[in-house]
Amino acid sequence: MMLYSNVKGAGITVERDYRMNERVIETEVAVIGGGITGAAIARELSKYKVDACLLEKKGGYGFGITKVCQGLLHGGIAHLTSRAVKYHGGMPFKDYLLQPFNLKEKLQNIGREEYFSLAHVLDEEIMQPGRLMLAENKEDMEMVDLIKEISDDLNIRGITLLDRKGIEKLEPLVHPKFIGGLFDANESVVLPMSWAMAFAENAEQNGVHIYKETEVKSIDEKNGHYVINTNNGSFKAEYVINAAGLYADKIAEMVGTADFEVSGWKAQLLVMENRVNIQHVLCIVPHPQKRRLAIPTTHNSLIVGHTFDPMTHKEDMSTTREGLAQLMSWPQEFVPSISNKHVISSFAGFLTFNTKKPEDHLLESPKRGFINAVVSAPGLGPAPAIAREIVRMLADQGFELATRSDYNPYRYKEPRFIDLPEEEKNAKIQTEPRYGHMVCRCEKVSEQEIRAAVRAGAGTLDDIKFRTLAGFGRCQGGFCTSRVIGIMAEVLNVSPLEITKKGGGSYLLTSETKGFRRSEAKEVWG
Amino acid sequence: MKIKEVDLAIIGAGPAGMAAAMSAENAGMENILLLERAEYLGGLLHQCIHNGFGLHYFKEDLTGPEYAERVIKQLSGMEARICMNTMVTHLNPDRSLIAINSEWGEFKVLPKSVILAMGCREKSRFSVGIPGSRPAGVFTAGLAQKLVNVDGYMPGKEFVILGSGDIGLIMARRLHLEGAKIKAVVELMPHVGGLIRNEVQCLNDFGIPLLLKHTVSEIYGNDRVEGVEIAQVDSDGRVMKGTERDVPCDCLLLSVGLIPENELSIEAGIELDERIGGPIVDEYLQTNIDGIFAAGNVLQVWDLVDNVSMDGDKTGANAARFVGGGLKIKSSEIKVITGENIRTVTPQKIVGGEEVEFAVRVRTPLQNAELKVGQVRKKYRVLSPTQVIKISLKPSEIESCRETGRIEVSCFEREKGRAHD
Amino acid sequence: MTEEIICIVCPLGCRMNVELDGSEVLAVQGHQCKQGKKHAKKEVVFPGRVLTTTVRTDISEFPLLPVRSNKEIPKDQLMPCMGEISKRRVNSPTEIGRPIIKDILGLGVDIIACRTIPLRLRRR
Repeated sequence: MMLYSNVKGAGITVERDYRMNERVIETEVAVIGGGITGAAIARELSKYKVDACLLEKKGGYGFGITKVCQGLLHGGIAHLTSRAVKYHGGMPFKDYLLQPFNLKEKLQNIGREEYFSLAHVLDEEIMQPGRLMLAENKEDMEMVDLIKEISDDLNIRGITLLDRKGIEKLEPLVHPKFIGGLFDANESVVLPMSWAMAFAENAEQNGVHIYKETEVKSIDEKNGHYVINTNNGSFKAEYVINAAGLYADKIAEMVGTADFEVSGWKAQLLVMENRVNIQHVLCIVPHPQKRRLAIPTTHNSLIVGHTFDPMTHKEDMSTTREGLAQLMSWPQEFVPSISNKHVISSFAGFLTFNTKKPEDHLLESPKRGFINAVVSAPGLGPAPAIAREIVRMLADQGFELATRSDYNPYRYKEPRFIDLPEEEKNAKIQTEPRYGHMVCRCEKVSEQEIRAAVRAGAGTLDDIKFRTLAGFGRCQGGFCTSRVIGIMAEVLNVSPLEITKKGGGSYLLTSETKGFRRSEAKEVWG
Repeated sequence: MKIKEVDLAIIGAGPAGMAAAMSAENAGMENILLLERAEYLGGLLHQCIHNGFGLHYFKEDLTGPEYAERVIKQLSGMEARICMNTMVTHLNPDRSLIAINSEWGEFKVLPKSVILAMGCREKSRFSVGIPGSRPAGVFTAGLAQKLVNVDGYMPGKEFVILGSGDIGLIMARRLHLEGAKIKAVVELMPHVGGLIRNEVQCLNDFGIPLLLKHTVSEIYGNDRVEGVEIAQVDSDGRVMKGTERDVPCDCLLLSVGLIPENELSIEAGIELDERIGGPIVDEYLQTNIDGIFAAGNVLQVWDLVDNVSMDGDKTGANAARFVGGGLKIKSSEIKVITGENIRTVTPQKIVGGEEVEFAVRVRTPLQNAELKVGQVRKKYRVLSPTQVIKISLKPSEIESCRETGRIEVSCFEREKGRAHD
Repeated sequence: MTEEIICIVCPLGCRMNVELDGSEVLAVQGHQCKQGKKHAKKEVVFPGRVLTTTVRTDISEFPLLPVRSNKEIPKDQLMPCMGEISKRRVNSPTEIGRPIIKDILGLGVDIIACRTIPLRLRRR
């Protein structure tokens, strides 16, 4: 990416001008979107002798919907509870729950086991806290009994009915109002963006070309090919996979097949330090209007949510006053002794669906060579399975898929320096002293890790934050931000004025102090 | 792993840590190690380029850097060893700690005594729950201060500042002087959060509006802050619907509170005072773990750096006494109770038989106030929650409380007309 | 003519009223100590403030030198002084207290360094 600015020495504010890169890149398959879906598809493609590209508009993977997803790999009863909340009468509840499952529901519980084996291979984290569904009263307990009954009928294992004593054993601090519940031992938790990166990096090491900061502007169809025009060049591809998440409808529109819109529900959530040591995912009995979840993460934090409002605008991932006001009382609904002092952050995400098939994924090919991989929530667990389906659809269109004999499934993730055993730490510091210089105090991130992340392509502050965890912790970058900006500027060999929070116009610093032109200076100071 | 056995390890070489090192050495301690994570000594003093420091400690009006240099020069003449760019990553209940730097790698320190001097951190936007989008351009005031005064960069051109504590007021002036426009300083309470002299010198002098009983209710902007919504609040601090209005700006500074930085203390099992956020201490500033003391902002958020240095002085001397076996602890403890109108008091318990210096913050501004500590009363014309009031009691004044095992601190407004008793 | 002055000498912040005839002070009310009265009398005639700011340097490890005025500067000259200071650059080591700008804008006030660059600690 070319970046022009007219910073010449002290004091001139940066004006950015991204020049359109004139090059044309030829490829066989172009995957648009580097979220969990696109990254999983890229990885699947990399198992074959295919020339493939992944185009991602941001500077890192998963910055769209994936970033704000809650990280749940659903367990045994998740598809039942998802269905339960939509019950509107019309037939006995049990019959309603036992209706056949569609693709989305079938896939809902599939990814989990696959992620466990992939965790080992892709060097990523996963944990299995299980889900504790809490019942407050007799009606709740009846629902819980029914779900247990059905799960038995369907041979779903790992589901246990619990009384008060039972739930207390699992979560000693749980609110006294709960009289019992259901434990689904299957529910697992991952960090979604981390996994998107894992899939993408494995794809890259196996030959997929990754283009970040590459936004699709238009798509032309010429002589049986697609020409994808971006700010970073044009890509001539035989096949296009539309995994653009929130903007999948815009991409579909570009090839004249816009028969759906990507819509969804806005969910607001809190992130807290998990000081009271909640060990399991906590939720209430399925309820049409309420969603209450407390999710412990692999990172010792607790996600609490979520509010539920119609999406107004794709760009609007803002939290609202009403939303936050509601959220602030929910942690205590699960565990009364949780203090809101430990709230680290709040964010909003989208639970998306497509308007053509609102209850299902939209995996279809509206025209030859163009495949929609439009995934509805939940899309995290199913990602590998969906990736295989997309590749199968490619084969159906006549694409020759020969497996690569040299596909390397093992992706090595540089462990966090602070987690290394002492001898390794000291050995690393001996060869590279910058490992011994801690920059982020809260997450204990060393200067060398930040430098390495910048060299590996993390070009914005948020990229660094999600890659190294610097700025993720309790002080939210209060201590490290000025140092991280300095390090980034040094490694990238640019002025600190050019460092942005998340690309585009999100520059952090506006000018040098006393950096006025003479005419401006006179106006300011006289 | 390198192992260092020392008599005293001090975590943090800001004003508290440096004063502690010097007073410990002056009290005869020999093997002292100061561990500092930054590339320089002095902590936050370097970025506080304004004056008003040292009026009590040095009897002079100094800027932060001048104060720092004076202390650093004193320290440099001493034997205490200093490790910079060194982060303490673990503190254990047996006082041992693990630290890391580029020279020694990861190393262990086995100290006979420890002084916690880690200071505090700022509350972020999320800990006060401001809704809206997440654009660039939202900074805590302290971070902005570092960027402007140490790094030399402006974080914005048109500012709204949330919080009228001293740091917010100081930054309003600083940014204005550097040519930025301050649209408003927004304060939740019905009174200014910092000292009145700062309100005059930082806001009134420059015509910067102060909006009391207001808050920032939303942040707008996609990539960069484009504006904020401000609104009036009721007496419970809740937004009053209908009073919202938009203020265009490109930067929001947050001066919404400081939290003592006690992650290491928690790891070591040190008991914290929930209200203050710092360790529960006795009059020696010793925590519930023998030989671990706390000084400065890590113990409580102070008003003046002079008080931080004095904490350092105390703990250094006390650590020396502890290691020499001379800290006299009685068998019965006196609990310190916070009474009427009192927000916080340290120490929270009295364990010895010597003079005790209390540090008190009142809840609300009080006129013609009378502070009562046990049986001792002291009158003040004006008391503000922004000051920390120090009051010392002699052993005889404390003994009377030993039977009940409690000593109460409270504060009342006396009737007008009796102010000049 | 009466002017209201809020005192900045101590945390009390007394609101005082100063009666003036032209630039002659006739009376001061509302103070609670001598220093406050003194401050009020000075403030109406010569409102001054200590200026603290930074000066750019050419020294890469210390891009900014914190400085202060060694005396109070008239309030209305604060911004012009800032303008003057912005034109300067420090390009050599300096000691704490050394004037960076002497007699700024002819006001009889020096702008002095608040720290020594570089500060070398004596080796033991």
